[in-house]
Amino acid sequence: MNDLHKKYIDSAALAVKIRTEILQMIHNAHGSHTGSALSAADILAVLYYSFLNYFPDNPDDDRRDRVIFSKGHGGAGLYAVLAAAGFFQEEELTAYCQNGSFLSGHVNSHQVPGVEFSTGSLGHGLPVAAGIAYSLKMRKNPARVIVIMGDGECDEGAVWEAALFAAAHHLDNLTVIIDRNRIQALGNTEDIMPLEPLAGKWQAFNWYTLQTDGHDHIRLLEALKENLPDKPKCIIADTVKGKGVSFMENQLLWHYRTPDGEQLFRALNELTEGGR
Amino acid sequence: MRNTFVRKMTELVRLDPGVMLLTGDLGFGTFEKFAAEFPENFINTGIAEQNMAGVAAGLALDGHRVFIYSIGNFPTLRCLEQWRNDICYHNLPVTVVVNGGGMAYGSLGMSHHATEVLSILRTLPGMQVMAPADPSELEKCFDFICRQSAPGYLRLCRGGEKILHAGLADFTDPVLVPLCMDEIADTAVIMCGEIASLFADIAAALQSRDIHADIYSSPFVKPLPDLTGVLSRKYKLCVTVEENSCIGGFGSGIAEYFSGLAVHPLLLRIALPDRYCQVAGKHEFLRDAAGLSAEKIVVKIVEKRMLL
Repeated sequence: MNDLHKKYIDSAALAVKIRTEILQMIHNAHGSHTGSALSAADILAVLYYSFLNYFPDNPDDDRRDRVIFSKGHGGAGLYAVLAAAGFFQEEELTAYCQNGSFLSGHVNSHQVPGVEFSTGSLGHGLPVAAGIAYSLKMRKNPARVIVIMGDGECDEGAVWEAALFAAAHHLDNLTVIIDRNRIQALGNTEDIMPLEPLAGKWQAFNWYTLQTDGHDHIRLLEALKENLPDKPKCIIADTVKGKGVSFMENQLLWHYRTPDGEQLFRALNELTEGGR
Repeated sequence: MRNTFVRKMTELVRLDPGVMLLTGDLGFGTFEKFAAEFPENFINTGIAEQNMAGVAAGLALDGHRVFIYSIGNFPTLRCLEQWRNDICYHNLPVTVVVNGGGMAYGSLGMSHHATEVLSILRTLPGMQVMAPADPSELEKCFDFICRQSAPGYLRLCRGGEKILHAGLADFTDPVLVPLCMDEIADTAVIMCGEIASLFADIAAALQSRDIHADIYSSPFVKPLPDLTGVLSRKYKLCVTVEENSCIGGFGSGIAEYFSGLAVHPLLLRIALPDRYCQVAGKHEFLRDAAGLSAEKIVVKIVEKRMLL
């Protein structure tokens, strides 16, 4: 039982809350990466509602599971779920991207409780997570390490360096979730730098690899709970960029665009109609 | 210096079992004994420097003091952004120890020369950059780093370095280490890194020309050593010598410091020219070709003194 269970009837309700905050924050800040944040909202909701061990009153508790949000550009969603989970006041989200705020557009861990590591430049999260996972195993600490990574991020060589390392050292306490929304900065991943067969690549690197609907909370949770001893795990979560707002879904433009007042109104309406 | 480094690591691990040593698959004949004795504390992360630096950050985040080892530019410039974003931004106690500072790997070619690293790493906030001249300075730099919880860079040469000091005091603060003092000196020569081993030849050549100079070693590039002593001696000329680019390195640090003072000595910066080394050759040959032999250093000092 965590605070989220008192506030939200289920993880789907939390996902609506995360999406609502993402849209509101990016609108207020005239920010970007709306589509990237929306595609990962269900992943965050399932993790924080149903899966992770965390301690908002003592964020550095050594029993906590470590989350490295490697697709730092989608950070609005992470801040939103952390506020909902009680790491800081929800009102603080209004400071997102404002002058002097620690809530920068790419994930910042300085002065932001619950954020494990600052990211933004792609391909940094997995090596760092592998180092943490290695250390936890050395210390016989059963905490888990979860990395949330973009699919376009898999273009980065450091991802594959770390994939080799994690398999070589049997880091079965490490899980990568790839937000497979199939769109990167200038277009479709398969047009720019084809990733398929993506699951086959991770399997070939000796990872226990699963592929699931990244918006289906039951399947996501099942995938999170499955493990194979001695192997790191990769969950390819098939998602839709901009998920939850019809006119943003699968639209490259919403990698960049800020919703104006009228668009925000329409988007929030869609979310509350679609939610509970 | 490499053997001194391994000895210091061995002593440290015995005191602090959480210390980790990572190598980017380099150090043949160096780490075998350490790895056999402390398998838990040693990881060969393979030929993958971005991952090595990221893993080091992760280990440090989870409470370890981490040393990473490689040669030349590999563990610094190859993965500079990991240093910037992962290690320095998070102020993690990760130290990179690099063999082959400057052109020590002579004939292996420019790919293996670490000739811009002092300049580049010096710009990273929180980074401590050190280029000890000999094994005794390395030992004190190592201890200095272990008293901090911050990122660091330790530049070694290539083994077999001359011992320049006996009974060196601990570096409680960044200091200049005197190598050769002259009571009536009007010139200070501050040498950074293993090139300080040329000091005796330089001193003799200056004396033969009736030039009175104090010669110091500066193992510290960042933070800069305390220069109040140098300023109080009212030298007319201050010379910096380093086997690193003439842009942005130790001498540039001194120039930046002097630029904020109303009065300071005339400054001569002797360093590598702003061009790549395209030829093979032994370390001494390449130094000479770049104007960094004792003889050429002295000629530059003599020429500069004509401005006094």
